[in-house]
Amino acid sequence: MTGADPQRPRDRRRPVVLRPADAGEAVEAVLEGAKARGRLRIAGAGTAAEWGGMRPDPDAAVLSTERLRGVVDHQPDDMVLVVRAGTPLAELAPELAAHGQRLALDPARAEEGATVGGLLATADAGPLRQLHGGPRDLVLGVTVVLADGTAARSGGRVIKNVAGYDLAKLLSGSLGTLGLVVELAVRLHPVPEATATWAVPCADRAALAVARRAEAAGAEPAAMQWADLGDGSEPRLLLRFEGGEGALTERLAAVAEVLPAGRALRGDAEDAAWAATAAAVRGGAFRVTAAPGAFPLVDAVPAGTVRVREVGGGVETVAPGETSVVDAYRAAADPVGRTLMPHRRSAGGVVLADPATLPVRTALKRALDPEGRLPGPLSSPARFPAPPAGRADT
Amino acid sequence: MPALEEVRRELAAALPAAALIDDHARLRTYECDGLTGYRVVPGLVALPGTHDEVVAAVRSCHRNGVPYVARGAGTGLSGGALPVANGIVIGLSRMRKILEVDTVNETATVEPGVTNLAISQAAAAHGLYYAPDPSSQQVCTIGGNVAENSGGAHCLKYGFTTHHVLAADVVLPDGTAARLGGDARARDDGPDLLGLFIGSEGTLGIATRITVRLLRRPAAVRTLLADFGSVEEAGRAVSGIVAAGIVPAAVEMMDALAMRAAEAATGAGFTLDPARAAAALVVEVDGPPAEVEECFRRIVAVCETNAATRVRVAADPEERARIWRGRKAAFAAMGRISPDYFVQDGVVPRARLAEVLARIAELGEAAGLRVANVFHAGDGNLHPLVLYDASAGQSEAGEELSRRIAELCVELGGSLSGEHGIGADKACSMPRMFSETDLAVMARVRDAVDRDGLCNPGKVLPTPRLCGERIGPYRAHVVEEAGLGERW
Repeated sequence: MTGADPQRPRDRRRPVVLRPADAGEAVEAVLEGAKARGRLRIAGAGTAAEWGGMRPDPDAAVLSTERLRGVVDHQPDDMVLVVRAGTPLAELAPELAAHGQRLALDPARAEEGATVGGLLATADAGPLRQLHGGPRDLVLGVTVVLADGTAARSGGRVIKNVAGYDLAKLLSGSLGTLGLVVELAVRLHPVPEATATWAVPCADRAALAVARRAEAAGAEPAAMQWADLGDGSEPRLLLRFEGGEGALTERLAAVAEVLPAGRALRGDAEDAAWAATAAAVRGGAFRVTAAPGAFPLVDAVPAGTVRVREVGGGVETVAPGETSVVDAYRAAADPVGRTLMPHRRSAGGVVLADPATLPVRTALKRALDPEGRLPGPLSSPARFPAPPAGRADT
Repeated sequence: MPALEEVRRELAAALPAAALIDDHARLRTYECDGLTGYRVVPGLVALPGTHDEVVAAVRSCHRNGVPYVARGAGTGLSGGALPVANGIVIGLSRMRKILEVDTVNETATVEPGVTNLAISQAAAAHGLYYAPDPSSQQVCTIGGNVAENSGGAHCLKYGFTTHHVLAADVVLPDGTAARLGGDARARDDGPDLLGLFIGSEGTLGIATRITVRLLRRPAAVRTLLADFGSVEEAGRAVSGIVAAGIVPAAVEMMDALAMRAAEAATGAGFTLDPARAAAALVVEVDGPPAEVEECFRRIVAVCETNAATRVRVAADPEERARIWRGRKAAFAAMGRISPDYFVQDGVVPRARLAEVLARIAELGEAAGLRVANVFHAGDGNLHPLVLYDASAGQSEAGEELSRRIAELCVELGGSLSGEHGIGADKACSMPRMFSETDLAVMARVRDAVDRDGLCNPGKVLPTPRLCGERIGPYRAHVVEEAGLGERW
């Protein structure tokens, strides 16, 4: 799969790092990197470097997005933003907040500097997925530079658009294996006036049923997260509500009636509760997806295991990922429809929702990266044993 | 056509006799979709009743090199289901079983020929519904919605088809099958193939089983109808609502001409005095009751700031239903005020609504044709209806005006299509919106999935055969815009 390395051995140790600042420079960087090293590796903030069970390729030329930064165009009245891919979400937030707007993604990695492009490439989102989906649901258009130096655009800058193939979807979750995203147009949403969280002690098995009671009461949670932090504290369900004070009062009253065992968290206590689960997610070894009603996927986990689950989204992040736990989850993720995405190399390879998609995945990979310059966990066939086959481990 | 004969022979063995149509009179039923200006009689129509029969049909076409076009209810407005001469049409209308309504996971799994509305009806007993609601929802199928990434009036708050489909079993152009997507809303196993497939207009495969998310019916819904003395004021009110950070469930606009037609058809209670109601907005808010009230107050204030001449709040569900009936019937009602009309579909940034409406009026005046506007204003998704009289020789002028309006949308920073698709209709306009390189990359994606070019050929992407040797005007490439300054 990988291209020949034209470099002489003595040059191999010196890393080649290219830092383009716009689409034009990105084209040059891709061509230069490919010429120097044959293989390329896209690096954002490095917060997902091991995702997919990736083994770092020391010889690949690095395409860093650190200079691909900043807002290209913000139309506050239209709630649309065009931003360079290497812009950290956390850096963007205050600028948008000044207009009462936000990019409605709250991934745990934001605090570590995760970039907007990196979030699309990892299809990562936080608890707000309940209301707004993931990056693929908010991206309106992309500019991408393929591994052969082709720069192309798909989508647009309007919130509704069905013209042409939606390449942003293909880049979503591509883990840097299909091309370098240089620019994204995204839909923005208003920052809610206020938030409040209802925290309910809740056993693993009951999480979905309890959350559904809040939904049935018409409280419309913006986030529904169950967490066992593995520190001996009681597992609980966090239901976040957004809106004006009047709306929040109404929502909390509705939820209090159906879930009287809980209590409201506001201000610092609320922030601390969500910060704790976000930290747990950052420490995750892998993430599984399945139908919300399929959880818990694994009956018994050793004491100390950390689990954070987006109850409606059907995603659970698990740590620390001892071999027995990983094995149990890998077995549980086997039926068609479920996935497992390693966040640490130790958790093995990716489990696809349906292995029958492999031929079409491979065909798309070849069409967009015919030379195999962007190797990665998803470009390797088989049901992804770790480490990915066919990769140089030198 | 020996290849087509071979397919006919193979399908006669694989499908029930009633599932094959090959007499000319009945084939003509399939010669067009909702875009009736384009007609091609297919060589054969197959109506598979099961996934395996779809596989058999696609394999046979693949083996014999015969092009095929998938078709749902044929309500598409861009010629996406236009047949290919000597090709076959694979109609999914017999596959209309609702396989499961899963109340634990709040999903429905259905066959592709199930109508959009039937999903919500099946889910209603559980307080759930399927959110995307194209105006044709009583007849259009979920398979067609997936192909087109259909929208609808309530997509402003809830998103389009792509936001609501979790998984699709797909028969790929080589006749193999795979499930795209997965059991969860979170998609976490590499490139989002389902996302690519939705909205690919039937060019990447045929869905045979689709799982959608269901939403819970909101606790409260309120709807208002606001009249404005000018289309521009109504446009500014929409921009004002968006800019205020309010996300209503729907914001629809109708101009005086559209209201006249819709009123004649449905008696929805629209104001028919163009001086007081040159345009009206239908605004709907849903959610918890107190929040709905608060949003509603703010919206009324924005309407009044923009010189609304009347704000009528639907007093009961019956009045609300009447307003929506009027809105959704508007396209079909055009027949009452014009012998012929083209439905256009374009998108502009929402801050430019007033501007684009003024320019459409100018274009209409210059062409000597009337243009009615009824559209999803909150999304910036226009549906100008170009009214013409074919018997008076106005067809060409009407078509030209309609095309210029779509291209005007692109010029203003928008899109050629918000929900109807590119299909056969707008493929040749694609170079207005995308560079040659952009289109070449899309073609690479298509060719990777459909190596032999048999799956709904001639749609979406322009080809020299379709559009002439020079496909469209020169358009700056992203790299040039970024300052490299050279074309290579």
